[in-house]
Amino acid sequence: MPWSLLFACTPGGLGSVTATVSDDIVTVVTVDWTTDEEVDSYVRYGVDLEHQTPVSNGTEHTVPLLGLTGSTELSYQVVIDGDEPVEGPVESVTTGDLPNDLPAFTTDGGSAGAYMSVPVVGGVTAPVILTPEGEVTWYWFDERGLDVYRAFPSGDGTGVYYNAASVSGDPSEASELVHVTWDGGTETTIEVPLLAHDFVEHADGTLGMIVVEYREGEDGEEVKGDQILEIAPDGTQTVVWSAWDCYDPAVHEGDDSGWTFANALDWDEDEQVYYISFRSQSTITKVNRETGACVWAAGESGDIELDEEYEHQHQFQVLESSLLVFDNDGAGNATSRVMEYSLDVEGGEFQEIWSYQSDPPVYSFVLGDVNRFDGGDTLVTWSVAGQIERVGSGDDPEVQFKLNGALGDAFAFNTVLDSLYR
Amino acid sequence: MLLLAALGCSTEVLLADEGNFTLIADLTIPVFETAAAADVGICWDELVSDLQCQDMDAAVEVDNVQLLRFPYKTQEEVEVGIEVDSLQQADMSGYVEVQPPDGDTCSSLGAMDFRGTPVDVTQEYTADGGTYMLSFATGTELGKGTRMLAFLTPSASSDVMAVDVPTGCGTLEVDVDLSSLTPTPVKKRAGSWLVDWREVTTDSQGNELRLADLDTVTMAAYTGVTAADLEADFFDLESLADSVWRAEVASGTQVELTEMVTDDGAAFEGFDADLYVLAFFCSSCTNPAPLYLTVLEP
Repeated sequence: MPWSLLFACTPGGLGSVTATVSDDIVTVVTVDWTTDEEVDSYVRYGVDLEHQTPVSNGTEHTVPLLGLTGSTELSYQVVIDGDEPVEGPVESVTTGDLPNDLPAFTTDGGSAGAYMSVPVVGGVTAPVILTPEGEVTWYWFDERGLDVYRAFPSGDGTGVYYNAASVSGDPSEASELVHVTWDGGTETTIEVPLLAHDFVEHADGTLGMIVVEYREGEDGEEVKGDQILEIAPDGTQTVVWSAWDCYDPAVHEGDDSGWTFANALDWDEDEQVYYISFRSQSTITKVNRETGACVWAAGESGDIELDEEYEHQHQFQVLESSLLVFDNDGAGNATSRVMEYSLDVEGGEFQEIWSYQSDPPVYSFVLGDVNRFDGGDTLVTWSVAGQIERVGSGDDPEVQFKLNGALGDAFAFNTVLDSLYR
Repeated sequence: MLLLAALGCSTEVLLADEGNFTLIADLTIPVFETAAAADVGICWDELVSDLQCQDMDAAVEVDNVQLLRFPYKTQEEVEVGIEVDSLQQADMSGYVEVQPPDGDTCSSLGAMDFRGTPVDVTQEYTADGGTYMLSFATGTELGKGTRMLAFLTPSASSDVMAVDVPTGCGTLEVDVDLSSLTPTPVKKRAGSWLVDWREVTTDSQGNELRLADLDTVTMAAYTGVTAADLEADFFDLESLADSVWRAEVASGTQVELTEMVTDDGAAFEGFDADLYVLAFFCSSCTNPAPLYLTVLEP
């Protein structure tokens, strides 16, 4: 019996269903379908129908199937939700062949434990999302001649944000925030001159980012600092904080990279605070978004001391009772490491409680990221070394998963995602 | 048959492992001992031929000079890694580069930086820092377009402050066997020839092949040249040919021969020479030799 006849007498009956492989991003399949009535429906999909899209409501439905890999035949099935779900026919579609320009990665171990949204820099410049197994599931080639440091799915679920910028040497006047829809069909940009390494998205869609700021010093020299700029969903731009709010170039000296050289940014929605890392000051600072006050600062220029100092650190994670830091140079001898400190703000000192170096040691002289999973494992992105590891806890943590790029293929910051749907 | 050709009859050419040639690469990178923690000068005006013995104009064809540091690899391990394309980004603990303007054939370590960020040579170029390798490339993309390589060995006992990089011919030796491969049969008369390499699993050195690495295809036609001639003069595969057609492979495992073109833009039309060779290259691999090369047998 044809499905159209079967559903003709079904409330919220299923009409035509089509699946289209994107020409621009061949791992994304868009499924369109109609229903007779406004109903909740979704798509089950995957090699074994193991994935599911978010629920779509209405009579005309369009959803992208995400998390797929190239050259893969998969099944998909539209399901009308309800007390007695109605399942459409199981159809099949095959994703396209990945572009040969995408780098290849070698992996050891089963899974990173999460999707990884991690721009590739080096041979090509491309925001990329990897499956937990390390295969490319989303990509976009950026041809601006700039670098890409951070990429993550936008909160509205329509695609991916990334920053196209330059942080080596002078920042770029042509830097932009870019949004690309999942299927690559639409790219929109927001011009943000002097954009730096990192940016975040608030729950309401506001984007917060590091932007280089120049001011004249006491002796008339140019001082290269940073500010936090916010762009509201309506496009309004507001500087919410400047490095000069908490630091003084005459007191806190910089280095050849610039006075502060802010290089990493995190956002705590509950507390409404930013955390910002300064390479040149080897300091991480907690900033109250509303007041612009520096709540605490840990490191060389801060009020909180470290019993084992990090140096030129990049990304970090503030946990409930500890601070996890990617420490580029603190170990010396061209070796990078991960440091974890007790978060004892009242005591005025953060003490080392855990550290990790890869074996053999690797060096990421810039960038680098670290993420702690709920179960205690840590995902370390040795960016310039083109290596990602998931390691356990303890003094001699076991490497659960390891991914390496070929010579010439490095990574920027890594946004860890349980799901690609927001 | 002629009628089929006139109607544009298409034929598939399925490549297989037994059709591939075998290659043994032996890289001997010249070594220069220099002073450590010093701004050593580097000149490459003697670089008149590259690794593959192809003539080059060092003053205009060297777009990028890089110094790569491998902290835990010996020089021999780096050589082997390049030969079999097994080096990983994590093997390297940093690189600096300089892009000399056309006409310049000299620079120095102190002139190099990392994408605009200066690097203190006195701290980073040390006797215990590992293996340092200079790379001279056409183009500026890391790992691509390498024309010549040289090792630098910083030593506390050396006072050498200048390096003159020699010509590249002889740095890479290859032992090639084209006679043991099974020629790939193709229909001589057809409207088009769709070549597919989806079933190829190993490269010319016997290593597992990643199909997406085959991103450049070259077909060469020869008259009065044998496979043995090509074995003996392997670096001159193109210069010995009557015609050379090329194609870039953006994705997938297929190329249509009639869509391959010469440097002058002439498309391949059919088989009428004595010998045809179809070669697949990897533009991002460290070894410039073909990963797959077969003799076509019309």
